[in-house]
Amino acid sequence: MKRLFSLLGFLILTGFSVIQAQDVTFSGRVTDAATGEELIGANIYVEEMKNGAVTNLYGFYSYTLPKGTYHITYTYVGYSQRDTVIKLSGDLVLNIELREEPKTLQEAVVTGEKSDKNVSENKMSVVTIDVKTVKKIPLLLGEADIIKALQLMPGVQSAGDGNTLSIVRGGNVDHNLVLLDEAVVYNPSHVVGFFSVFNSDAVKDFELYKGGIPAQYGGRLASVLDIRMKDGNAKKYSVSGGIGVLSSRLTIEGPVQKDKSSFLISGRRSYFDLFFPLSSATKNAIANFGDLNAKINYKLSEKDRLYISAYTGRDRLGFSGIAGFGWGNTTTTARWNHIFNKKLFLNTSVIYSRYNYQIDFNIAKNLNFQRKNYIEDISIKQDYTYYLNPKNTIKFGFWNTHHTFLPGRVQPITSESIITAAALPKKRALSQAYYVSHEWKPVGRFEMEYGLRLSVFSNIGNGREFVYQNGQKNYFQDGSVRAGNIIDTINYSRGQFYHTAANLEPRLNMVYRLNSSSSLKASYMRMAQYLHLIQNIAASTGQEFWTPSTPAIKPQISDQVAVGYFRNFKDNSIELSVEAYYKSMKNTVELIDNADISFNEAIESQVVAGRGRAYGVEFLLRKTKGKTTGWIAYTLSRSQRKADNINHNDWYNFRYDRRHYLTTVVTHEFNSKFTLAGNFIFATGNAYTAPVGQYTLNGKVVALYSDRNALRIPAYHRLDLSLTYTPKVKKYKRFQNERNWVFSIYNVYGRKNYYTLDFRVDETTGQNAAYKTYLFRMVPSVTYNFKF
Amino acid sequence: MRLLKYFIYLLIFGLFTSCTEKVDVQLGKTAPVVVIEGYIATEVDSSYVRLSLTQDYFNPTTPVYIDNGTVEITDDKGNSLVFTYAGEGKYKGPAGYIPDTSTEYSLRVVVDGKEYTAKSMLYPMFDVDPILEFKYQPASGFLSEGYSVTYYSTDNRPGEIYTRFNFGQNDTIFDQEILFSSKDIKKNQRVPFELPFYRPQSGDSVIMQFRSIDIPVARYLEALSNLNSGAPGPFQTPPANPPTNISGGAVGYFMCTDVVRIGQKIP
Repeated sequence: MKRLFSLLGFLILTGFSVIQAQDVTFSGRVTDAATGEELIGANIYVEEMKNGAVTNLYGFYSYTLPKGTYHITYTYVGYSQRDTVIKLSGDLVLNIELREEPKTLQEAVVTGEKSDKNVSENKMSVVTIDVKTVKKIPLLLGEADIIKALQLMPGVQSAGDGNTLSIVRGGNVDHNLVLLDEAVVYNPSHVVGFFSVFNSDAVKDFELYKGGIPAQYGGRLASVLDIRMKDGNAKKYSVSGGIGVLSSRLTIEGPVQKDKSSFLISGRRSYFDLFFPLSSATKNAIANFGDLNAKINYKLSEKDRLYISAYTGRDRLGFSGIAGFGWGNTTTTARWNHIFNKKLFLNTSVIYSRYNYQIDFNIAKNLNFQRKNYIEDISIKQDYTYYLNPKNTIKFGFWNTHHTFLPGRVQPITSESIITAAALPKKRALSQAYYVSHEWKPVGRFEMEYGLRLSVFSNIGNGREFVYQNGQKNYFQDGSVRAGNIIDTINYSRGQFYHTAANLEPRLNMVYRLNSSSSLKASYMRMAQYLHLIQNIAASTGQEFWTPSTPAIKPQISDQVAVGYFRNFKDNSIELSVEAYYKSMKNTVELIDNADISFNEAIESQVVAGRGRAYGVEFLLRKTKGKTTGWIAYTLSRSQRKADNINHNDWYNFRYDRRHYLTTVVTHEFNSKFTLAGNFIFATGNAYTAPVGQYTLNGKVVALYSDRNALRIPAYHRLDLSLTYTPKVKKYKRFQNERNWVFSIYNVYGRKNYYTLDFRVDETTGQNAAYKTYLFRMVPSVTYNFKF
Repeated sequence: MRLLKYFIYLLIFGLFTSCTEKVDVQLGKTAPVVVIEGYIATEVDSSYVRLSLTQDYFNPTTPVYIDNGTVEITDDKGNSLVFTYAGEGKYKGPAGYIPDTSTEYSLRVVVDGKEYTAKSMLYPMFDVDPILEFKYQPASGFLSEGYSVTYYSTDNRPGEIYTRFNFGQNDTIFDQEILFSSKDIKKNQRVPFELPFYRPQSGDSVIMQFRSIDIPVARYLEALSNLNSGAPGPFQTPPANPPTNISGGAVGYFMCTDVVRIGQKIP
């Protein structure tokens, strides 16, 4: 580790040595001329330097070069290029507005960033899809969904048919960090996973890192999904929305003070429960979700900008007056951008995030209760970017979070209830992360970014930990791992830091450009995860919960290396990438067989520390320009787990291990009115545990199981199609009215894809049988979208 | 609290059952394993130990019984009883046999020279009022009109003891079983319990069966119940063999239980 620090210091000092006394800096923000939205990833190219800069997440850029006259070009795909000549005799602030190209001139694009990004950028294992493209992809029930669109890219797989929970490069569902305006979203699903919580109308930009994750991110093993909400139109008011078969959405945005502040409010509500009264079987059922995004930003000065954004969403599922469960995320982020000078940019954020779930059970006046659980975070983070010179950019900062966990609280609903009030003690923890990274461009063809993240996780009192007999939180007996016997309890006082774990997480990304159209890239990352999702069924029902690392549950650690070859063809209109990765994981949280996680304070007794390995090759070929666009993605991969006394101590397949995963997305624009789009997906079936025998107990047949996840369900495949009809834009006196109709069919040929495979006795024959459950067969939908 | 799980499974089951169909699957084969179903109960002559063998999953479900085993029961005072074969895999104690409550029993089984052992505590049941409460209720929600049925109980027992509760009507015990811990219920006071989702009519006889069990047996039954919950795939717990309390490589359980039954006709 000492060597690592020495190397880091040397490299940073080497970078500093190239500073020249006569250099000047031009900097500023690049925004959309129509809406004032800052453009993330816009390209600034300096002709004389044959080099340039890219705007950051807040549309800010900075470039340092010698005094002189320069030809500067600002580009952002889908927007008209702007050329300007500047004479630099001193530092200069240059804020630029770019205009969206008229639709007739605009080529359909997959990404909204620089055209040779695939080859030139020092980023690999990163997935971006333009939000406009997401809206053209045919998806379940016509609901544009950024997570489901991501699941069509290599290395990202759905946890089930129509499910928004994702498996990234063989990681668990909880190995993905999902951020909405920097706030952690602990459950990104509505309706037990069939919809994501992200309303695409409120999303400006998103990026998924499945490898090579920069040092400013951490806390999960597999991926980071960084979603940025729109700021709101700073130029004029607009209303947009969509009316779908089962849900609708509405967004209102506009200036509070023109060009100084703006707001956005976007809401969504499902209404499929309106159909429930039509059937006697469902007339008392409740199943709905809703969410609301809001954001306001204010330009305090040329150097200071304030953003406040919030999200809240809620799901309800149950039967009226009898029982039900609900869950929801709430987040709030207050951000302050400050430009110290032309080279130093600071973002400070204060973030609140809460995920709660609740179960109501009220079947009689004396048999009822309500159970609640939650995780609540309050964070403060700072991210500094120092644009030292065109060859060196330093990023550093910290992210500290106070976590509060309520594992469970039960209260009777009525005073007559026989259920006693009870609560598992709250848990508290402080997670701290400090990072520094250096983007270094030593020679024209080679770039690297290396960084180091120090993560520290402390359990804080008041709290208590159990002491187990023989120091064993669980033990192996008669073929099963069983919970250990608690022999004592250690109590910790309020505010006492009673256990701390720390990890150094090095990160590295490198690119070597072979020529203008091809490059080689490599990355390495170590990730540490201190929060773990305890879940013993695949679907989200409120029984699952997050728990912190403790003295008895070690942090999960992963190391991933990846290498890739990137090539563009035909003037960057066709992109090819091939990436290979290997990821090893340790201390993965594996539930013991027959784990009892319901209202169990001694949760550490129900898990064992496991190991994991995942490796694979990902191919992506995509066409980004022309009337026909889209991509073909193929992943060949394997993911396995191992844990003491589980599966006879042998490696076993991860449940979502899929050897082959192929996706094809094609969009063809016939003319300005009609666009046809289609997806095809083929995936190896999930691994599952099957019975190898049977026996009879008390007159009932019981299955005898052998190896874990040893068999596979048949392959999954489906075709989806959509047709978008966009009528000619009507011009009114005060505003333009844009609208379109999207007709889509999910699973066109109606394949009964296995969702699950169950084994039970056939009631008609009395013999054992296997049953598959399938969900969606040929689901048609129509959505009307509007904007004025 | 266990009730909750069953209800959630039931709730979601309806969403998925219409999309289920039978399929052909090729499964592996396994060598037969000894199955022990040990049931020591305080009702006279109801105790037995049944021995059988596992077989391949898609074989006929008719059990393969073991008739040449040795079965011995010993209490914590060292008193031993040999159970003798009584047909259909069952080994029974002497006529009139009633075990004692608040006693730990040990089981020893020998099959083909291989020994299997287990222990289980026979706890007393809590006190249940013999008189049930019936109240007429109009139709509401899923429930048609009929009578709500409530029993009253008082639990003064120390420690954590589980109860297997079944109820039924007109001499037929329903399949549904409710498993709950003494920790979930208020102690040392008379508490009512209204039978969930049940509305019998006037003239029906309601019967109830309460059986005490220790924690290891409860864990076994709970795991078994999760496996056979009837919940569709995404709501099932990962399949695994229930944690037996039998050592030596057999599957099954050894259960000691105090049984209380009450019943009453609705006027």
